[in-house]
Amino acid sequence: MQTLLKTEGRIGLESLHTHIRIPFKIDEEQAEITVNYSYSPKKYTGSDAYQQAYEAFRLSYPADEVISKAVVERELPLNNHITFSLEKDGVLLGTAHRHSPQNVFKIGEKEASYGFYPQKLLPGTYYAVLSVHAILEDVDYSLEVLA
Amino acid sequence: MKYYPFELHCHTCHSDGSFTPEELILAAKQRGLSGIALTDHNTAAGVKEAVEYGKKYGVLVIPGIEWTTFYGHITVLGGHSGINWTTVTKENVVEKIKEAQAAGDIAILAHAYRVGYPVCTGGMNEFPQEIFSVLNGYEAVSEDISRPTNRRQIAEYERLKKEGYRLAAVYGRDWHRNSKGDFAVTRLGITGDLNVENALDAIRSGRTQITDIDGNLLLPE
Repeated sequence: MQTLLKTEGRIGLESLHTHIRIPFKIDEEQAEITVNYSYSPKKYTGSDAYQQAYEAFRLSYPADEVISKAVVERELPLNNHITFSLEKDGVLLGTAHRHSPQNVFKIGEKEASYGFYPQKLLPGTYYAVLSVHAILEDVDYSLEVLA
Repeated sequence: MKYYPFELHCHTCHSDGSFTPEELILAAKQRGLSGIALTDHNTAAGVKEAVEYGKKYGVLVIPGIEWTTFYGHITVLGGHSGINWTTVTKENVVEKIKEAQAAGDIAILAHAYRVGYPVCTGGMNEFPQEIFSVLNGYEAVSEDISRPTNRRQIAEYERLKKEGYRLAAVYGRDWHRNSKGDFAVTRLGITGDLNVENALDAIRSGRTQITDIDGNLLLPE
């Protein structure tokens, strides 16, 4: 297998609600590529987790609604949540909007992992797009694309 | 005209739902629905398979997607526009919705008062007020009918209607898996054949009702 991209990095709080685009090239048409994508930590263990969640409930719920501790605690632990999309020429080849921090995606002509559209991988510049939906602390990621 | 029961907000394993497309269609049939809209988060990869199973089991499938952005969630129904959800921002959302509509799709604001960040990013609507002038629909009731946030959604819907915004009231179960609860349905007033275009037209024209599964009207009052 050929390594098209292998990178790792740290995403900080300043990247909250941004899309991080990491380019890589495919020089020759490929029938399939494999993406190994992971990030850590997933669960946020900060002591202010309950307070952050409670404040989100307070903004959302009617002002006269009592927010019980049990209702807030059902949403804990809070999680870091960074999804992966594959993009070429501004068009998405798919998005895996799932919550697992450990992922293997295959995108190919005959089959593709859930969330992705089966297709040939034509030559050109692609982007691995990491969408930072939720980040409560520094998160380390690892990304590898193989053909 | 006849009113048909639909679920307009559904997810499969192509995003973070537990259903395969076939399982979702079977669940819809079991619930007595005439149709669903498949609105996986940020992908339409499951639509083709869902449509095929829909034909097999007699459930109409409206192709769709849920733009699950950092600022709010919008279900885009029709399957025509193919807009890259990562390009949708607070500043351009009105133009993006117009672009989707020009391609033949419709746009519905999902669960405007869902608990938001950091519990659910974009769960609570943070898009500018201008969005209501272009949206086709508003989820006035979401998930379990008893959710406290539905009081705020219904109140906002009624305020928007009074202010002259043309929004169809719809229900969104945000159906990820089978679970116990008190769930409603959206009934679409369709003239003619039960097909995707007529279903979209019902929403565009405001011929919608939110009822419980037995048909008892919840909205409009």
